[in-house]
Amino acid sequence: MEALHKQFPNEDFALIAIVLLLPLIGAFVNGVFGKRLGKDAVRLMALSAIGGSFLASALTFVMLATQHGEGKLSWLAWRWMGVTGRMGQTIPVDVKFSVDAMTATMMLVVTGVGFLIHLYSSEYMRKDPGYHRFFSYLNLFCFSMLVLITADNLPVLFVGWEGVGMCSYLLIGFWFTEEKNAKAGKKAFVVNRIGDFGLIVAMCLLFYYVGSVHWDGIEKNANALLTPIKIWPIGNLSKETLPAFLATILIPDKPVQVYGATLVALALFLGCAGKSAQIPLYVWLPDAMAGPTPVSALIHAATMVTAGVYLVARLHFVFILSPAAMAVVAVTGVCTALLAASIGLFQHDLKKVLAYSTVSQLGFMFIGVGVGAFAGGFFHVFTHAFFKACLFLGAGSVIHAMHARIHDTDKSQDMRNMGGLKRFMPLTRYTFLASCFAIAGLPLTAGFWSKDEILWSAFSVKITPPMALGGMTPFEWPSWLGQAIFWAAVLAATMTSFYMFRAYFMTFHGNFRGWKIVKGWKDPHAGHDDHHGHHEETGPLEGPEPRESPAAMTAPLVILAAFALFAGFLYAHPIHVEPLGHLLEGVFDDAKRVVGERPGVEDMMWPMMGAGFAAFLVGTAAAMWVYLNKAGAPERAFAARMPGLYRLIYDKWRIDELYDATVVGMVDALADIFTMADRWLVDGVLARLTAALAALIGTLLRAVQNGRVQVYAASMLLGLAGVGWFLAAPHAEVVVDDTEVRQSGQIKLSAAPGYGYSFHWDGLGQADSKLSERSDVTVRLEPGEKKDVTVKVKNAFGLETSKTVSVSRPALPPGMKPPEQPKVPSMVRPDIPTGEIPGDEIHKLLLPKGAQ
Amino acid sequence: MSILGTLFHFWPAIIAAALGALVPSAPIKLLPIKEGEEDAAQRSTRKLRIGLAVIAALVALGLQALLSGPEAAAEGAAPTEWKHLLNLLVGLPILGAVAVLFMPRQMLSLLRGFTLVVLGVGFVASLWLLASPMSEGWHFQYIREWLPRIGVRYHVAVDGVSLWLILLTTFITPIAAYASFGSIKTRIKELCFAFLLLQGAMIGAFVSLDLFLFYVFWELMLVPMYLMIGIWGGADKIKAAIKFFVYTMTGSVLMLGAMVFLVWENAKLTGHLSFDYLALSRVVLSRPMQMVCFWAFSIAFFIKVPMWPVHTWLPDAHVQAPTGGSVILAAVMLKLGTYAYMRFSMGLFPGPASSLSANLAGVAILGGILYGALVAWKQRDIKRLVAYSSVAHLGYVMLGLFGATPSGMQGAVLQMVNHGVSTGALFMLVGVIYDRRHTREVNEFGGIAKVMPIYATIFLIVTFSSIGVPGTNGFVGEFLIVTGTFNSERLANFSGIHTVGAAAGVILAAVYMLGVVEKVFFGPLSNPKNKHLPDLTVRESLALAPLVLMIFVIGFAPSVFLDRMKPAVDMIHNQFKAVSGQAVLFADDHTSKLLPEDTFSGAFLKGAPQYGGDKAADSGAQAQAEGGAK
Amino acid sequence: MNLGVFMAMAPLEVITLGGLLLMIAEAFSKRREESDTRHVGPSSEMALATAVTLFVGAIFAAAVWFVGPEKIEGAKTLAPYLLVDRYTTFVSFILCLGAGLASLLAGGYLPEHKLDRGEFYPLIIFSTVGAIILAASGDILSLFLGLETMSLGVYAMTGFRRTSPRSTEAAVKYFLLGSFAAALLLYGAALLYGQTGHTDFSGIRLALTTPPLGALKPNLGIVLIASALVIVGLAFKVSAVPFHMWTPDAYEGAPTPATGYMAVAVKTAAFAVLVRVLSTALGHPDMASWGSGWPPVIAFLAVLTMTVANFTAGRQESVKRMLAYSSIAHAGYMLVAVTSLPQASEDSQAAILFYLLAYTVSTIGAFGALVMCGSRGAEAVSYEDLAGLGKRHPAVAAAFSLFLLSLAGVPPTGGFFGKLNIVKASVVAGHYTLTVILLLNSVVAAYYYLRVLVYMYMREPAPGAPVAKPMRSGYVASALVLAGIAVLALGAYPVLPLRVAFEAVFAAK
Repeated sequence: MEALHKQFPNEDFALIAIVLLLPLIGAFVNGVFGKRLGKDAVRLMALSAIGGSFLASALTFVMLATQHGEGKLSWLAWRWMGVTGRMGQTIPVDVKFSVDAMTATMMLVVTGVGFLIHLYSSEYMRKDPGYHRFFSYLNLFCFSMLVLITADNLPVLFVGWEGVGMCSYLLIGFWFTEEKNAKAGKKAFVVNRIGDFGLIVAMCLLFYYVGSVHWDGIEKNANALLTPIKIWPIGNLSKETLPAFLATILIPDKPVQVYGATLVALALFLGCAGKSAQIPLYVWLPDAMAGPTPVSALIHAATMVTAGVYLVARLHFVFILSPAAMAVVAVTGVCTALLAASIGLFQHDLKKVLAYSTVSQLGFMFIGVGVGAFAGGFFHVFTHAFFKACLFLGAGSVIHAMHARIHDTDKSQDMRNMGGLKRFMPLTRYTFLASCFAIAGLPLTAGFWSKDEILWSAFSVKITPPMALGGMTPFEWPSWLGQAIFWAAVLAATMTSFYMFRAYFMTFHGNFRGWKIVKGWKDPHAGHDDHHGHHEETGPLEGPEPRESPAAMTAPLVILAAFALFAGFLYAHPIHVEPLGHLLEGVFDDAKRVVGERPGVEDMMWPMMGAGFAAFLVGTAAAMWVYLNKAGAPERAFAARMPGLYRLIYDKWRIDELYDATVVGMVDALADIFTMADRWLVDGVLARLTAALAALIGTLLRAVQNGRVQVYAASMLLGLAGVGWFLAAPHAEVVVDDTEVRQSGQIKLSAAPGYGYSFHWDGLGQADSKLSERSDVTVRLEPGEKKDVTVKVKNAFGLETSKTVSVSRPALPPGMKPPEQPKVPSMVRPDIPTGEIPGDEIHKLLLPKGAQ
Repeated sequence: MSILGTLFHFWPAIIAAALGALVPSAPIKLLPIKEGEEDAAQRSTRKLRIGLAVIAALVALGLQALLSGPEAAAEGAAPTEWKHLLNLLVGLPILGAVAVLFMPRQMLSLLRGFTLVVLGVGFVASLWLLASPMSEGWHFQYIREWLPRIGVRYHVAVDGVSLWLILLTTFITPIAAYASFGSIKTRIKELCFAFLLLQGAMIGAFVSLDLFLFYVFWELMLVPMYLMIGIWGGADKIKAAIKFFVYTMTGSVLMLGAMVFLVWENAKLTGHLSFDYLALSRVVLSRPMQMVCFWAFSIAFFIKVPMWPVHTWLPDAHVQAPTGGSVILAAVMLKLGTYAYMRFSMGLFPGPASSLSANLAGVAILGGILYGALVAWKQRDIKRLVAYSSVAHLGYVMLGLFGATPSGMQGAVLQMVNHGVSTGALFMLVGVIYDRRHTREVNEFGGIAKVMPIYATIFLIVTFSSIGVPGTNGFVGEFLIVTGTFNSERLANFSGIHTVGAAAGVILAAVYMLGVVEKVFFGPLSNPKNKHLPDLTVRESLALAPLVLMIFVIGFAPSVFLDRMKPAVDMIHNQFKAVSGQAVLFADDHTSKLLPEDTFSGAFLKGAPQYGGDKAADSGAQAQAEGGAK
Repeated sequence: MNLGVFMAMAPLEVITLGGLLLMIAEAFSKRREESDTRHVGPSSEMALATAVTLFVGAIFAAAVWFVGPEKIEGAKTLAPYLLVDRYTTFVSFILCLGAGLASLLAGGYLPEHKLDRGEFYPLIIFSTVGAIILAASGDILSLFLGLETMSLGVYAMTGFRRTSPRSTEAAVKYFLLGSFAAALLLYGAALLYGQTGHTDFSGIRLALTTPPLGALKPNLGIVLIASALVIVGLAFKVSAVPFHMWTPDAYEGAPTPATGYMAVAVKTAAFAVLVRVLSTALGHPDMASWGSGWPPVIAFLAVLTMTVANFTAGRQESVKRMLAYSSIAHAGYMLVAVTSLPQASEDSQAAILFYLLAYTVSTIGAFGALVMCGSRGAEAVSYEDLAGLGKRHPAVAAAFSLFLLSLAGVPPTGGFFGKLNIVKASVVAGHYTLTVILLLNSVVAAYYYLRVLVYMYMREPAPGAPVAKPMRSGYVASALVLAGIAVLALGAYPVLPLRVAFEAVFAAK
């Protein structure tokens, strides 16, 4: 251990490199050479890569736990780039990684659960032609996820953040020959991009106000985020620049200001909502189930989707500065939990149910971090990883069994085709049951402890706002908010236990509805390796009895189920058994400044725990009554009684349709308009119209050239007449030269001379009315004076004309001498302009002219 | 050093080479091998292996050299600069073009080989530029009197900004030429001529510091590109070619007028005619003329960039141009617009450039980033789509320049290179599919990934780089630009909205690029015509490999590039800040003024014309200058 | 009476002598019957002789230049009738050069198209003599003399293709309108003489500025009318709109070498004298005032000329006609420089001289390429005739493109520098609007020059359509080579010609 600590000092902890590189190598090898290596080699490569990575992270965890003193393990890979900050300082953005307790735990989850799922899929995907492609993606995902959690600054985290998004895009669309998978993948990526937009904005704000994007740097200067920022009116909107009626509506008397912290936190949360499928960006996750089931287990349940929670916990020192942002997080979380749970109630597709339960559980996590229970929220991430992965893998095992005869993806996942599987696949059944208990919150299971921690902190929370700055009163949490969240969450928990057990009973109890079971049945088209070929038999489907999955698939189930049941004791706050808790507290201790307990709740912890337990009992019992005893009759009755509501819930409250109708539709229309405009307006005017005009003019002029000599002579005469007329007619042009007017008030007026011209100036004051040869005069003006000067011109033919020009001299402000021309001051170095105007003032003078 | 030492020293190159040699065997297996062609396939495999190995090794070496560059080159920087290097870079291709004219048009291999050799030599020679640490100021400067009577000098030099654009040119052009030799079979002689002349003219435009010289190269560039579009173009080539020429020429004649005016004002102030950029940047015109000349210059550049609303020549030109033409057009020629804006508009007329920057940035965002992306989304022709995506990307570049913050400008320069690499690769990929199917309609395709896996993979990689996924080159540039925008004091109270708008472009990029990827590569392989498309050929893979490598190199080690451009960018930025302040403060409404020399850093004015001796040349100019001044 | 006089006017004398000898030679050479299809007839030797004569003239002009006419005592003795200064010498060099190139073209063209008659060459020479006299004239009488000498030759050349009605028609039109213009000019001159009692430019100028004591004060109105008449008469020769309408017809009807000659020599001489007259005879500051004098008139003519010519040229089907219009447009560009004479005399005169040189070589080159492109029965007239030429005959196409690009003013060619100088001149004079109009016009011009490239390189001839079959002729080829070298040299390193032009101007004042 000591040797290891010497080998890998905290500041240069190169072990992280091993954790990161192994999956990357695996991805590269499998992706490039996989086709020739063959499936076994691919499997070996993938498993050893992720397994080695797991061992390395385990070692990291141990070393972190046993290190002397506090602090985290960090490793600087190389300099990435430098960004110039507000003060012109260079803010380094390095490829740097660091590990603290939270990261180490997360690493264990990612690599550990990741390893189990690799193992599982090595069997599950056995028949797929894209075997190597699958594992290369999977390894790549693990790499990106590890980058995300070990990153030491926001941009590097962003690398992992988008990397996992990319892998999820590739894996959702893994069976890309089906249109809808590809579409689902694209949807996931685009929706995530909306979140990434938030992250980018957050980074800009941090660069500007905090001047750092490294975790430590942000934590150190976080208070800089307490500066008020004007968010409305934007740009140069003001009472002056807007028409009155608009101004009265739009422009408030005093500009709207918010804390920088609130802006940053909300921008970050937009990103988290995208990645972690919260309202309003949750719509991609259910569709993402189009990918292979292990993918859903690893990416869309255990790891990637929890990245948002991880980020909030990671940047808690920003969030605690803004109670408003925390309220937004918590409320969004609870709303998502409720909405998703309600949708989960009546889904028939097994994976859809799990998907919505994932969304809902993520909602719980955000409640946790939203009410300041960062450790609790993160602990729910930890436990959720186990039981939800187990549930998905169990579902996968069931689907695998169903695939024996039902090859259509949707049908094979439809719970109405399942039932009674407990006879055929006991292991799957028991592990599934265990995880159901965990997620529903049976006391002493993992889910119970973590969920209870969240609920309790929601009930007892009290957030002390930061001191008021810049004449702004910071947002205060209303006292009822915590309790409201608590009761709503309890309701959601009830629904959770209901639909989870609904799924369980529909799948494993009752009798099998998939096909007519025939003993010793042989597959007519044996040995087709098409994973999901679409050939539907006619007549009643016959087949063998569903088989339990092979060991490589069940072993992970067992392990995960074990964790689902007992992992809770790593952080059982109420009974003070919290080994993991102590590690995590170290990370979040500065949250204690802000997050406290409401007075008078000290002794209410156990009663409130009862509420959570009640939620479990009610939901489970209801599910049992409806689906075990009544075999689902009440649900059908409900559907019959109020079909509208039932359909609405079944169609996920038609949120997708709503989005298509509003946001997507609007952007689409805008794009159409722009395209038309580009074609007919921009190009039409600039290119087509001008070309047409030129052609037209050319044709007209050409018509004159008709070959008749008379016309030619006529045009010459015309020209001659024109020239003669011009020379014969008098022209009065006056050039006004007022360069001197500011100093001396002298204005020189000079009329254009002409052969045989004589001039006569009026309005000069002095009365000389006789024509003179003088073609120019000088006027002298007092400040603010204005004169109209008229020149009469008489030419050789005695024809006359005249022109009037009005000259004026700008009035000087009282008590000010006419300024002398400023002379160009010299400067020593270009970057620090001297002269009467200091350098940092210059840009004030440079404010865009057209813009203010 | 010993053999072992050598091996040890160059291990990255060796490893890279080994990897490069290992990679292709899988692809080749996928190529349909008819019987009797095994040995052919073998040979092509070998060729591909060797080629990729060489490319990988070169890249590794280059990186090694670069990463150890600044320290290594720190000592003895000056003597390492061979003053004729730029003359070589500019002159060699042009002489080559002339030489091509005298080659028999039947000997195709000679023509092709010669062209590639010349271009390749150009690339290798340009690598030499990296020997200099690119400290602030001009490097490899070479000055010679050309037309003393009108004050024109042959004045070329590079700084940290033009350095990368030159490298981009010498890097892209051979690839483009190599790729088009595969697809173009007619009138090779003209093709070689066009490529070489183009190369020379583009590099010349990047290195010239004399406005007159710049204008000459700027115009010279048009003719070969015009021929390229017009001769080997698509169905509607002639209209596109003429549109391209007329649009660009309109801009540049206005620039010529403003140029002459500026020169004359300078002559009236100093008594010497001079087209020299360094000398002219001291002139502060009267306010109205500042504005007029700024627009006269900038419109020419905006047309080239292209910025909304003068962008409509671009889609036509791209769609009609042959693959090689599109690659060069997108990768290098558009950069001339952005580069010239950075160098000349911002350098000569900083006053208007800064006072208008907020509005121009608005145009860049609305008209470029957002509008371009939305219009691209609606295109059904892949090439048209990529063309509009260029409008969006260059919107980012211009935004970085308008924002005028050090990191924003660094990002802009880097983004020019990125766009060159990514969009160049995209056009090449579109060319691949076009050579196979002779259509670019999205609806014609679907599920291609099943038959062309490698093609699909590379296309995906390039797509991700083009939509700026971190880890690829696209991200670094856009990231720097957006952060720079938020820091910008030029954009004043607009920086916030501008930042939000620019960041929103990130979403749209994903929408349109992934849309086309999905439609072309995924879904069922419906169209029977696509059932038997062959995957990438050796030539295509070799042409694409360096670009794909660069995508990751820039993505992961951008500091290599940023460090070298930093001094130059800082100098441009400081000078812009200072001189724009001067221009706004001290310009008056009637007469022009001359800024004192110490307004500028000495490194900048190094090489500006000195009028010590009474050269016969000056006397005439002197006389006229007085004649005009009075 | 010393030899200086002869030395000073050496170019004139040389080519006059040569012309006379040639006439005799031609008279005694045996006439060939029409059926003879040999491409090398006696007239070819004559072409060579003519070219040699003219080039010798050019060489003598250069020699005079380097000696320096102001150093030759006795050169002044011819003044005011013939002003022998650097200005004249430079112009006569251009004239001889252009005429020589044109005669080379003729040497290839005439035999090819069975117009193989010797009188063409003396015509060229004598009208060149007229042109030189015109350019050198410092007096209305010699001006008129030169004008007529030049014009008569050109009329004859225009109608040289007797068999073709077009040619004859063109000649008649040209003759009618030409004599009309000459009449106007003469009338104006007469009025001036009547008012001032002077026929020499400087005398007129003097009389208009400070009337001699005793003599009656000139009637200003009549002087103005007279100046209008003179301007119009000269504007006709430089074919400025709206006095240009004869140009397309005449140019199209005339045999191409003659067209080339007209486009070059006539314009050069006319511009030379126009500048002289405006800057000396009518150079009185009041007459040259921007408010009401000839500058606005010329400016107006310039704008009209450029615009009308360019837009019309864009709509032509015949390349020859297009070139005719383009030559009009170039006259417009030069008029812009003429406009800025009062404010920036040296700059604009130098610009005009340089432009004339560049324009001469480019235009002759373009017409020469056109000649080269066609052969008997398959003459290149319309755009379609040129379709696919770039593939069939790359060399000719390349040459043609070079000259067109020079005319379009694309660097690095002589045409570009010419434009640059004019732009500079008018910027110096402060005519910004005029400059912008000129620049935009050059864009419009680029469009129709490029159309030729489009047809040569980017179009294939329609199947069965008649395509131009290039002729082979050493004369035309050598003319093209000479012109091409000149164009490139003027573009790449125009130091010497620029210096020469400026010195010509400085010496002139």
